[in-house]
Amino acid sequence: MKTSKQLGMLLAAVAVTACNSDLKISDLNAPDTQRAVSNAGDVQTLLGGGIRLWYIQSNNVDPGMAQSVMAQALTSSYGNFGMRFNSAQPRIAYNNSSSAGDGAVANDPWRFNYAVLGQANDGLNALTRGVKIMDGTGADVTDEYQAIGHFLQAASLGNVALIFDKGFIIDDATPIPAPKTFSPYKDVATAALAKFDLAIALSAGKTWQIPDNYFTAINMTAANFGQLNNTMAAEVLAYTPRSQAETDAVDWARVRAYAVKGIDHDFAPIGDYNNWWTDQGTYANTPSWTRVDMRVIHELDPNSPAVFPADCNTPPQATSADSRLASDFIFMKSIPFAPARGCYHFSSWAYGREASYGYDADASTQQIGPYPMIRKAENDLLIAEADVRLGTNLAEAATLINNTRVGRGNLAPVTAGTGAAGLLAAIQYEQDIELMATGPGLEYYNRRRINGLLPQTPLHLPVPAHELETDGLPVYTFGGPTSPDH
Amino acid sequence: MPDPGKTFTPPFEFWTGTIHSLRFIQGSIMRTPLAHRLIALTASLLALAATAPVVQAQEGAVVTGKVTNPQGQPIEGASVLISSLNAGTATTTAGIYTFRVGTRNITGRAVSITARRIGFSPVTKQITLVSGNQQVDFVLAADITRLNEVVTTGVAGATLLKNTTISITKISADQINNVPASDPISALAGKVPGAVVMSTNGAPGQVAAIQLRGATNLGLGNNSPLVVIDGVIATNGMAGISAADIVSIEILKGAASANTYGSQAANGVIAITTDRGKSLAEGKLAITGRTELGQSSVGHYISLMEHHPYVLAADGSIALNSGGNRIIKPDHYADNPFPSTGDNQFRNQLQTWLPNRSYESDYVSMGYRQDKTNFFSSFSRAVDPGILPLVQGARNQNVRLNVDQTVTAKFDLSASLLYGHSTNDGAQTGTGVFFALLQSPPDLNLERPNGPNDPVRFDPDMPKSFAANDRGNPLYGLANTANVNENQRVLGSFTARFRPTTWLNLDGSYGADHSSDYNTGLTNRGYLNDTGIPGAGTLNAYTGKDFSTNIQLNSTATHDFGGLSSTTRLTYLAEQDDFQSFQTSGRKFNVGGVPTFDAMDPTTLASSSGQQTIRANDFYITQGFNYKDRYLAQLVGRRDGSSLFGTEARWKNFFGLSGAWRVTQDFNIPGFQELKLRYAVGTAGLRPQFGDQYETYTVGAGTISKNTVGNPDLQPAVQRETEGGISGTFLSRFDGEIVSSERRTVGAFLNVPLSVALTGGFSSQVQNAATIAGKTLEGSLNARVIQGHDLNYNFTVTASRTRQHIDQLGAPPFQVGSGSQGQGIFYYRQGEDMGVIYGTRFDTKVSQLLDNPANAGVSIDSLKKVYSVNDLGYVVKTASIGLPSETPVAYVDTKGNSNVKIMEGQPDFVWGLANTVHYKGFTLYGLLDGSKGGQIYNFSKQWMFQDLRSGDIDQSGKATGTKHAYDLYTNGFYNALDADSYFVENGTYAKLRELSVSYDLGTHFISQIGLGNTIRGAKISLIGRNLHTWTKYTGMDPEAASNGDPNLRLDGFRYPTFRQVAGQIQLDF
Repeated sequence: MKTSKQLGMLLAAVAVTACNSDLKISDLNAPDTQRAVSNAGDVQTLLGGGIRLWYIQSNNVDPGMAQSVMAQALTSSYGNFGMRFNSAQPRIAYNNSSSAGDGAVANDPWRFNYAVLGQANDGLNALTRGVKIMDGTGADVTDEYQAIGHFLQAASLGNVALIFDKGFIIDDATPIPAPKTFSPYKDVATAALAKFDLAIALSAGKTWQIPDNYFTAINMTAANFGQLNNTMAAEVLAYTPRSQAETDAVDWARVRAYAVKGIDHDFAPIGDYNNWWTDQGTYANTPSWTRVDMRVIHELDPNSPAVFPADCNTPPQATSADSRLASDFIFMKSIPFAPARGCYHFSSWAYGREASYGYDADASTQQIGPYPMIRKAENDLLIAEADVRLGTNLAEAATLINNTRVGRGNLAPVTAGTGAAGLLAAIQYEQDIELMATGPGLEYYNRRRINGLLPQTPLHLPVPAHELETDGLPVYTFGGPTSPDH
Repeated sequence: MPDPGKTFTPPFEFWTGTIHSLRFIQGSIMRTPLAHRLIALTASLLALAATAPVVQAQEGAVVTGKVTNPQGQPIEGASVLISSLNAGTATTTAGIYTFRVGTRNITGRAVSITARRIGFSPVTKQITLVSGNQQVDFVLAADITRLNEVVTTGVAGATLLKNTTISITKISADQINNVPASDPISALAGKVPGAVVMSTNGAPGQVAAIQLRGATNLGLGNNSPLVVIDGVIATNGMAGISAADIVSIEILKGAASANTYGSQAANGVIAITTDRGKSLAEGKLAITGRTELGQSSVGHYISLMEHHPYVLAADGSIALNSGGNRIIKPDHYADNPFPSTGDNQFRNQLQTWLPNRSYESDYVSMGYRQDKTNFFSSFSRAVDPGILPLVQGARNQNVRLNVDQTVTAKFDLSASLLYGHSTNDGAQTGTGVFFALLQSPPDLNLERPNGPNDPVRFDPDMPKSFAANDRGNPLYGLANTANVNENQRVLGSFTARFRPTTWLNLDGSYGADHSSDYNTGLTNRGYLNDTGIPGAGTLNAYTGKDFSTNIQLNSTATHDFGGLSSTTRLTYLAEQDDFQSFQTSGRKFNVGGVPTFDAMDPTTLASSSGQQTIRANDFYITQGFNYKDRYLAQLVGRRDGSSLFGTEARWKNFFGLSGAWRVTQDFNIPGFQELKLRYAVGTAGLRPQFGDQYETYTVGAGTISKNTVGNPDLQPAVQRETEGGISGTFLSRFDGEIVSSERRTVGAFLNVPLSVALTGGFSSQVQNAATIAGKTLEGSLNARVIQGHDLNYNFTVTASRTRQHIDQLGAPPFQVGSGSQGQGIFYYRQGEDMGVIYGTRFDTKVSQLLDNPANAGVSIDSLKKVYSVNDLGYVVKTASIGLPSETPVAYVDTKGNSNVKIMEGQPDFVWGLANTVHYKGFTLYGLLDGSKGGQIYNFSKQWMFQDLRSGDIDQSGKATGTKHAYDLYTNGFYNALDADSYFVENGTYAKLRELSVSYDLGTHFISQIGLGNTIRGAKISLIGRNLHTWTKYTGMDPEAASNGDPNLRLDGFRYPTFRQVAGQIQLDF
């Protein structure tokens, strides 16, 4: 009997234990949709965080570094970030394989831009569902967040249009999962511009101010935000073309209309190393990783060769009438690259306009402080280019060019009398010298649209193999002797 | 310490202390979320114990006797036990035993008394207990077959190996201790058929990876078996477990045998039993001390380039042009010698900087057994710097205490406690250092790379003309970085057993496993970067703490139905695992020389944290039948509930069914002493990982972004395995077993990639999306070749062949990574074998060009006019041979596909051969193991091609006309680091893994030198590990795999397994 009792007690304890089992456990490390997008504060975090994600990914090394070497702006023989093989001479096709070492070149911008877009759509949908956002004074600032949402839609679709040959056009009205329909880059650019227009309209005449930490510590009023949207819209319009012919066909009046309402000072988010930084800016200013392509040095000093000699003999140190050679560029006696990879990769010149930002600087200054993503000069040059291409105001164009050409370069000024061709050449020169290592992909887009890339350089990246394989579609690529539409 | 000459009776305080300990443990449990439930169980167990009648052994029966071998020599340490009464003891050095049985148990009924000792066949006798003395002597014959050993893992109750119905391999201490391994998994290499043991990271302190009968996952999750230590699940694996403490290891290889462990056993189970002092002679304190001193060294150096393709100056140095760059010879042949003298003379940097280093390990144990108490305690420490210079390597210390206490004839308690502490400053630098060292320029003195007057020792800023594309000076970081991984582990268990009747056993155990990691990385202020610029210093610290508890309750009932004995075991198991982590980093010291975060600029600090809780509740029943030791069967049913399963799939059932027929019990088969046929089928599972079921957004820097889609339907992956086996003993000399297993793991986890674009931002979802099939044929043979008075020779051979295949893949084909310095190249695709690499295959016959659709309509003759096979065996344009333009042609199949299968990693079979020769006091032991067939991807070599480091590129000594420009290698075969067939090598190897020669000084000799009263035994040994490897593989070590997965046979800057030669002395007191 006693044994039975003991056994009974034990079994009872087991039964009690079993009944009390609680196997439902939450993941406290990361929120789910319920926690991420349920109230006004969540939507603010989602959209505000979207700006940071857009900034980080737009300035990521992929595809930025590959684009820079394809444009012969920077040069490097290191295999990292697709630099070595995408700058191979003669050009070879972009390796669009999901197992390729350089796969991130296409995969990262695709993935991150659509992540930003998805986030923007979620935030906008929450606002559409009725979430209202108030500021500290109790005023309804929902339209501010609608503007941010449309900015993120525009910026991410704009990136897709600039980088890839085609993409999905998705917005907050698109059902998820979205239809598997690709649109060509021009249509994607058009969709991006429509979203910029919405953001611009929502910002016009408003008095709200974007919270301090959304664009780092940059003071961003509704007016400033509108300017940023205008400049970026002008960029998408002007930089989407893949050829001189497409450039000629751009609606330059529209470019000008955007640009004249664009930024009036540099857009330069402030790096803090941990949360805000530009990887492209960092590597561009790190002489042990990248150098300035001799094509650019040749522009500064026509006596310097445009390509480093094949025997790896260092040419005489360049000199230039442009004082920026001394202020923005650093002559380095040694070159970290291997002759066996081709001396065309070589250059004795490093870019050093933001040297303290780079990895060769002291760790405590690396990625610290403002780094220009869009210089005012870029916006000025867009206005100037529109002026010249429209043939409406060459004098204004000359003035805008001279801001930096004379202001920083101490070169002879250009005038209306220089003529359209001369002014365009001066614009392209400023784009190469003054805007170096700023806007992501900028050097590449500016060379691409004037047929300035080396033959058989890809004109855009293919949809990454990872996406194509996930969708069950064939993998393709661009560039090199055998791929179509280099 | 008790006087070994006197009887030791545990004082009452011992008991009181135990109860206090229990209360302490109880208190600890209360702080866990399981507390309220566990407390009820613990309390009820204690209540049971408290109400159990306390019987004091008074007069009763005194059973005594002698245990000898057939030659009449006494057998020490044999256990003699009346299991039904839990009464027994072990024999003294003279083979004598004596124990007492209480009057209450003198019932006039016959009881079984068994004498057993590892290495001998047990003998059972029936006796009727009477008051007063009665003598029962035993003669035990040697048992090479080990079939009479008892196993306890995966069975309803303790079972003789010959009566098991499932596949269990048991490794005993004598198979481990000839050459004590650095960790218990390494100790299994070559000894367990069906197991692949591979040191995927050879750095000291790293536990080897083991895979039993193949993979169960495709990169998500792991292939590691469940680890059970002294009956308690050890969440944190093998860390801190000293191989020297192990009495035996039982291995269950898959679902057919491990089904009692349910949803965490598809990878098999490794159950370790540590020494508890049970087999010690009664009343005598046994102390063993052992020390090992040895030297570690590289077993095999790879071929490096000793010549270069640069123009020489008149003095034999390498000429530089006006820019300070080297001038490449027009022919691009790497055949000019580096200077043989001076500061820039050629150096083999591997031989220079991978020094021989000494290591040591010490071990001391103490055990005692007296009447109702036995205990075992040990301390071990090891210092193993490995083969890297300038670091201390791995250091560890472990302390163990195991205690068993019989309270009454019906009630006993066991407690185990392990404390382990380890530090390692070499593990986290291993891959990076080998990466840099393998690619170091050969003509630099890495100690003073800028010349003898370079003020910085191991200067990271190396001259660029020598060190173009350099990977940094690997030695600077080793010398100036303090990276230390520290681990502390406390593993404790408490078990109470209660036998209310002769047919019922109740036991309950509580196990707690606490593991904490503290990793720090420090570079001081002034630490130079690769361009020689001093930095502000960095500090990072990570701490992770895992605490898991489990409580298990078993009820085991046995009954004999007239020849059919039945054992029924009911089990309840509750598990909880809590993990927390925290890390902080900073990158600017305001004050130098103070490695704390307080001394750092607060604006440079960043931190992050994580936490997770896992719970599980499991119930199972195990039913064993044994009909007259002839027909045997076991049934298992188990129901698991786990918080790791999705909300819609919280519970899962598992089963097992097995049977065996001992044929030789029914039929006399000439030559066969034992023959058993066996069949088993069962299911076991794999649990998802913590984050797999949840929809997650990534949070960081105050922002949120989408990550994975939640999966409420996530279930455990379920493996169903069937196995058939035949085992037997024949010709009184051999003991063999052959097992065939077939398994399918259904619902294996896949992180199914999603279109970020189309899902609105989510990149993946974990799904039960794959089916992995495996077939294994494995066998083992033990042979006692010579059995003489002075000379004994026996060997054990194991071999297995495993084929693994992806039957179904619910996702597009994808690649998994090589772990470090490389992209994913192993290819997972439906219908494909495991361990396969796709990539560029270079043509080796001109006719292969015909498959390329681009050559449609082109005749072979016209192709042969352009192409031919060069002396390396690759198709190239004939006109380009020897020129910088020479490049191999990539194969394109008939569909125009150039990404084709280039490598199959699965070996034809793996094998092990252990030989033991005893001659008088000498023992010679050697273990060879290896792998036949299968291929390895030499990723290290591919990297070394890009900077002219691999010996393959060296053209010196080749006849004119057979030389090749470096471009063929650095551009052609290098292939932009994409996988290609050039770097696929034959993975066959044989390794002399363990070798020892030992001499037992013997009691006679010890007495002669006057130490007979102090020392019980002494042994000196010379031992070696990884002494030699026979292989055609050109890398450092063919025992190479990445990601801790033996299927991913890729050699990528892996810390190689190294050779050790040591002397060892052991003294027994």
